Amino acid sequence: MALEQLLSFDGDGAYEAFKQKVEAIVEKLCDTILSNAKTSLGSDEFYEAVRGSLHGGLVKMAEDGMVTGQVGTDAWQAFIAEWGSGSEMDEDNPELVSYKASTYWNELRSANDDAITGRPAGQYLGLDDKVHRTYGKLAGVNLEWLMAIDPEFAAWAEKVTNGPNPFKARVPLHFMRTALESNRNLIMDQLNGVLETFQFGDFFI
Amino acid sequence: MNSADLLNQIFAVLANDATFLNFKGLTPTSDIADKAAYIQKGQETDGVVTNETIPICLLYPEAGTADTRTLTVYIGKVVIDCFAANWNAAAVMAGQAQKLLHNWHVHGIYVARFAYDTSFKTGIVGVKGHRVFFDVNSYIG
Repeated sequence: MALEQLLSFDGDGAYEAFKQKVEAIVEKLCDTILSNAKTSLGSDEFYEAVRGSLHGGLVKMAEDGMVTGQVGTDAWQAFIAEWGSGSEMDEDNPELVSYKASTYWNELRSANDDAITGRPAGQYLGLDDKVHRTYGKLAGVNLEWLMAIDPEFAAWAEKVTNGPNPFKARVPLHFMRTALESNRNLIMDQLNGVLETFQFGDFFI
Repeated sequence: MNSADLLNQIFAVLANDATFLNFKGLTPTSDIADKAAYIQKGQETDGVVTNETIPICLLYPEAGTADTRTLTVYIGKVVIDCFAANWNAAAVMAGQAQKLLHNWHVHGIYVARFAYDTSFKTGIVGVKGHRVFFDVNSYIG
């Protein structure tokens, strides 16, 4: 009997089975990251859409031998949740420069230390990607400050913007970064765990 | 074992450490109600964390996953949010919690390891935060 028949290894079978194990663990880890990200968002009503659209899981890629997981959200409020808004926003945001150069940015904010500020009269594109119109009566006014000192304005603003706490500077939650970083050890450990416990011996035939 | 039991055990570690209690001006012999007001179980900051209640810390679990090597072990997370008047004081509090809980274990039931820490803005005037994460392996049977 030839030696290769005594000790042959079912490489394809082992690869398939190993890949399935890795896929299962990646799926599980995505679930964990997802639920951690949701916890970090807290119960703020403003982030309802972010919580609702958070999704994640295994990304199936045909034929390239990679197992990839993905966690993400489609809600525009996610930018604010991650990086904050108004005077509280995180200046370390690598995209901040391009945001300030974009049509979304209100030039008048610079004078108020980047606090949320009234726009000049006319139309503008909001972060929600809708076109809004303003008469410019509050152009250049720091709206965060106005909300705090003028209860009448605050009540009016809440009515017209149809949401809780309009013009509020929101602190960066870094919910995505934290969810990933706090799971770094777990991810590496569990991927190693698959490698350690996989029964390669089962595929000697 | 379950999260409630785990949090109780971690509470006991923090609530018996003279250094950790001293941030609040408490001692290991202080009243349990005062300790419980300082080390709170739960995540929500509304009304709990103010510039009058600091220093204060919140203790809560986060989801993890069953260990792929041993399915009777669940690797969950315990998060401690420390709040103080400035970044440094908050980080020092979190640092003491880290010192107490990294490699903390209850034989055969829990093993805790430091996972990550980060400072964060609270949006509350005069209150800064520092958050520390632990991976805690629990024997769930």
